[in-house]
Amino acid sequence: MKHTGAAILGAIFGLLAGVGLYLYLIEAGSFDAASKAGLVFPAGGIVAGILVGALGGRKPIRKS
Amino acid sequence: MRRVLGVGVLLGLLAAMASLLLAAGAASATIDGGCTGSATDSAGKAVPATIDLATADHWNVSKDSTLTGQGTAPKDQTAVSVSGVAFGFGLIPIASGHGHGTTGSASLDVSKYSSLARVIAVSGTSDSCTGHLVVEVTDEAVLDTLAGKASVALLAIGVLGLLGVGFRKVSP
Repeated sequence: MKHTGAAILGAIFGLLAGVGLYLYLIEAGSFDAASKAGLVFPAGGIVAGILVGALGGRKPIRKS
Repeated sequence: MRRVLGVGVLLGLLAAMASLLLAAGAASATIDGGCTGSATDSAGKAVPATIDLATADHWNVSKDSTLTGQGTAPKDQTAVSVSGVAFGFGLIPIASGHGHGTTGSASLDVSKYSSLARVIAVSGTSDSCTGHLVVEVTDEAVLDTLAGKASVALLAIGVLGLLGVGFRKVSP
């Protein structure tokens, strides 16, 4: 259940990163704003964020 | 094992995204429905200084440019709207109007808008015609525009947030 919250948070940050990258590439003239392929950026960001939230995290090292 | 799988899936997604971007191709031109039009930079700083809106889909202009456009339709048009384009959709309303006629014109002082965005994609729609054009202000830096600063801020917040989520401590 704790991974669910992290995955949602990851999706939000991934969306922000995806939209930011999309905007930057348009402003730099590297991507056509008229292309629907731009949806790949926020969608990819959300998917990457969900994966990072669900699979990420580091466990503390146990002292034996 | 679980983490290795995650990295593999992530790399696969990135590869898929890259191939989609490469397949996106160039935008096609640009006015449908029988309308014609042209646009001119009266300051003479755009390249080229005059474009045929029926065939051009990208125009390099200067922040000192003053653009004037005129269009002709094969029959009376009663409504027109112009929108800013993002993700291939006309999402941001810029202007709209109603009336009757087969000709129209408008002008734009680029310096009023160049601080907001360096590249502006616009689409226009009237009763029977549609068209689109990408205007790029070539002598404006990306980070000097509001859109450029906002993009870097969003990217930084997103990446830092993902790092925070990815390296969070979890209980064993």
